[in-house]
Amino acid sequence: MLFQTTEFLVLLTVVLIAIMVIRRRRFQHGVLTAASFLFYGWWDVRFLLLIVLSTVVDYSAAMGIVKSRRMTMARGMMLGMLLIGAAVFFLLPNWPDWQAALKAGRMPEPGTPWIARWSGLFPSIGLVVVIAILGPLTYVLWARLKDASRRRAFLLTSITVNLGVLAFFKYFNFFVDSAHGIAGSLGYDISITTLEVALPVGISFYTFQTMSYTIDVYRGKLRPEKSLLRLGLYVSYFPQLVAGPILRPSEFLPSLRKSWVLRAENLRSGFNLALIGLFKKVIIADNVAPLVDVIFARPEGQSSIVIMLGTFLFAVQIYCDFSGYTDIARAISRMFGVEIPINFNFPYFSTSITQFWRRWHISLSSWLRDYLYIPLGGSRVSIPMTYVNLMITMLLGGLWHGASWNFVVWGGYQGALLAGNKVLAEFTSKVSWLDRWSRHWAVLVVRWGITTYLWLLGWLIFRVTNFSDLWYCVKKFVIFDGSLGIGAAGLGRGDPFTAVGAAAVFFLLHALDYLLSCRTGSTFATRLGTVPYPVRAGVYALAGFAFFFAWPARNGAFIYFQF
Amino acid sequence: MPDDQPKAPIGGGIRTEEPSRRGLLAELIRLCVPLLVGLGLAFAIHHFIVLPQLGLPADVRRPIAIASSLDADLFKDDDSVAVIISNSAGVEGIDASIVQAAAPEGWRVYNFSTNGTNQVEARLLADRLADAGADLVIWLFRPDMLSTPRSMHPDVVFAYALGKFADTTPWIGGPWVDAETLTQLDAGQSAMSAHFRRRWLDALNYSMRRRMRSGIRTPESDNFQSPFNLEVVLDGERLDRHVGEIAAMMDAELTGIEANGPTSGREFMREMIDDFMHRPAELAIVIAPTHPDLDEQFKPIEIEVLSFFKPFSASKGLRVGTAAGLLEVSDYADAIHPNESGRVRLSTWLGEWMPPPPSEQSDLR
Repeated sequence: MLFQTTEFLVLLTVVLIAIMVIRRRRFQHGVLTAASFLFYGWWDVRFLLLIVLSTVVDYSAAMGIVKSRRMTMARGMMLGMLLIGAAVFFLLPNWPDWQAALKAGRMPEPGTPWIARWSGLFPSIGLVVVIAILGPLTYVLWARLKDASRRRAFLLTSITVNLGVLAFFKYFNFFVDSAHGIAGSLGYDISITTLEVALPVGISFYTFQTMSYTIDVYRGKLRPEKSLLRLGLYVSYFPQLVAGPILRPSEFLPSLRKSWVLRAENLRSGFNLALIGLFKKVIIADNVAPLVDVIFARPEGQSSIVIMLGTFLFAVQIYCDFSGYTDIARAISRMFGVEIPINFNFPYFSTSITQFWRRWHISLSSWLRDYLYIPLGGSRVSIPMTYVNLMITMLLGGLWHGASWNFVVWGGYQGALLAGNKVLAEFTSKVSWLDRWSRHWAVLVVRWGITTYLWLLGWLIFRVTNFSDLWYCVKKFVIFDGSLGIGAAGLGRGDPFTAVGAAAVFFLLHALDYLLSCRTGSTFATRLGTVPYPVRAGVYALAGFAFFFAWPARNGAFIYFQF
Repeated sequence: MPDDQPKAPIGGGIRTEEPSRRGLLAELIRLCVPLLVGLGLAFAIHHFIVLPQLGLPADVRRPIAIASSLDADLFKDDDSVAVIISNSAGVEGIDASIVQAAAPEGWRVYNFSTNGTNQVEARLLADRLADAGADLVIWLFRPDMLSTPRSMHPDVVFAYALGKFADTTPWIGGPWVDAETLTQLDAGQSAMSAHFRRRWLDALNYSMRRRMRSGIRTPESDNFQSPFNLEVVLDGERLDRHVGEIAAMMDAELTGIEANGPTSGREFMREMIDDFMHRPAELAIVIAPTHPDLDEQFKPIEIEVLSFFKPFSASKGLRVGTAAGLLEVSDYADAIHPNESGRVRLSTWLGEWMPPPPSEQSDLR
């Protein structure tokens, strides 16, 4: 379900009314979890099983880590039964055909079978049954281990299951294809077939989110959640389920200890933020996207200026798409009364790559720092190892984005930039005049220019998945070919005026927002909540005006859903 | 880090008093009403000022123009009427006056091709033209038309809705048209106006496109003789790019070309041919010419398409012709559309291929 659709508006309205009417905490959680399942199941009901699996495994693992008395054999078997029930309910009925029919606006054909017929149905159910039976047995086995071993065993089980699911759905075909490619280039022919399996939306996001729960319990930073329902809500919380921000359990679970109450100031503030997010997504990102798609569909033969234009527009698109999603996610959650941390802080105004990564996709950067970079040793090891750790973190961070080699290259590129930045920063900090000079406004402008060029090049690597196209684009981006004409580029189908106009509007508003933030410490979204009502009403009316005239004919999915 | 959080406490932390439902409702009204006023005002400006000023896009105007011409009894003075339907290949590649000059005497020929026509649109047009009294409906058939029928472009759906094309078409409720399109085919002026809310942007983009790619003319929507748009010829790198684009587009659009199921393109054509057996008008299929640079990709498909139609020729007298290899590279404006010389060659060939008019033959079938 996309945020910018009527279905979502209906769902949100129902949830808001439910929170207003229902005062009992447990019932509120039930409604929110059901809404989250409906939200996620809208794409494909079958993938809800993965959410249930993650929840049950992490719930049990956390209980095992602290050796909770709540976790009895009977309870373990009940969880196993729950898992089997979920597998039967989500997999066995013919959800795919019914969903397809309902989405096409018609009833299923009279002869549509009741039982699903997709390949892998019974093996999948069988696998879940095996997990459901082995789960309690494994729990009993691990529970008998000594303290440190037991804790490690439960943690490893949780990580293995979560990463195993992620690897299967996201990376299996990638690794098989890569193995085929490597073997083929060496003259061997290996026969491993790829799987026809769809990538569950947002799997990377909720996998990382649920892993942080078990790891935090293991580290003793968090007490395990007693309620399976509350943990399920943490894993599946719909505003941020499919594209983050990746929530930490300590940021969300405490809010479930009291009933949620709708408040006028939260509704207002959330509404303002949602309008801004929606504006970024549908007015900017979705209007820039067609031209970006046209340019990068067949980049070969395009001039430097066109490749640069495409890269620049993609930078606008991805920022507005992703930060627009985050704004809406935060806005919805704020309406419920729960604050979600920010994910972006004017990254395009960064004056170094290190700063860029502190401002871009903050929840992922901090997750990678806390759960990968620091456990690897971070910067507390030898200098060469620090750079190795940095590179490993960024390579895996790149791969997290997608099962494609260009993301690995992108991660490596970012790792190299961060390493270079670190070397430079350390050198600068040792020479006092250089340190002072590097903070002069004129130097900051130059640094901003260089940083912008570098992250733009990074977006090019991110966008172009085919290596021969990528090589061509990088050459054109780095070495200007002197051609200034774009008449032969075939950009007509990409609605060039709309795309460039939307990008210009974005930069104007974004720069003003940044200046406002620098001067007053608050953004446009905050200021909007403080101005007199007539001014605010005028802004809302203008937003309605803009939405009418520039909302695209078809709603585009968010880019980060694929990750 | 920007402070974009409200100053009021979040999550019911400090304040304990319960907000009244009436207060919340009042706040919601204060938030939503100005937004809705903005939307409403925008709609009014668009509906009463912008759209009447700019008009509908040319491709949308054409089906409406066809409908109004037919309503005005366009064929009333003609004895034997042959109509050509097709997509942009026919828009660019057919000059009805040349076809008429080359055809056996007695025919009055019209070109009702429209840009981007898919199977469903072609059938809507064919039915309407047959109902209006055409004797021969020639479909200049691009081979990918045998693939699974695609959804109609929403813009064009409204054109067919305004032209009331679907009013007397029983098959429209079948599997070929999705529910959304079906609703849109029944839409009124307000829904149409809301749909074309981006008309101002389209107009700006079109003018920019014309600046970037000169050689595009805008013919009148009711030009049923030679409605071509392109006056420019692509060559060199630009042509190579276009060939590549068309090849990729064809790959994507050839889905299900071999399928035979109830929603397949083959079943669609079978049903249409059967339907025309019960009409006074004759349906004829002519495989459209394809650019020589795309021969490798198209040749097997053309053979497939011809072998599909062959049994209908034998059993039902369906007239089938092929202009597949007719044109040379120099006859094309780009990778898909004939240029002036291509238009003359194709139109002449088509005229010569046409049968004598019904008055000159004992039995057309």
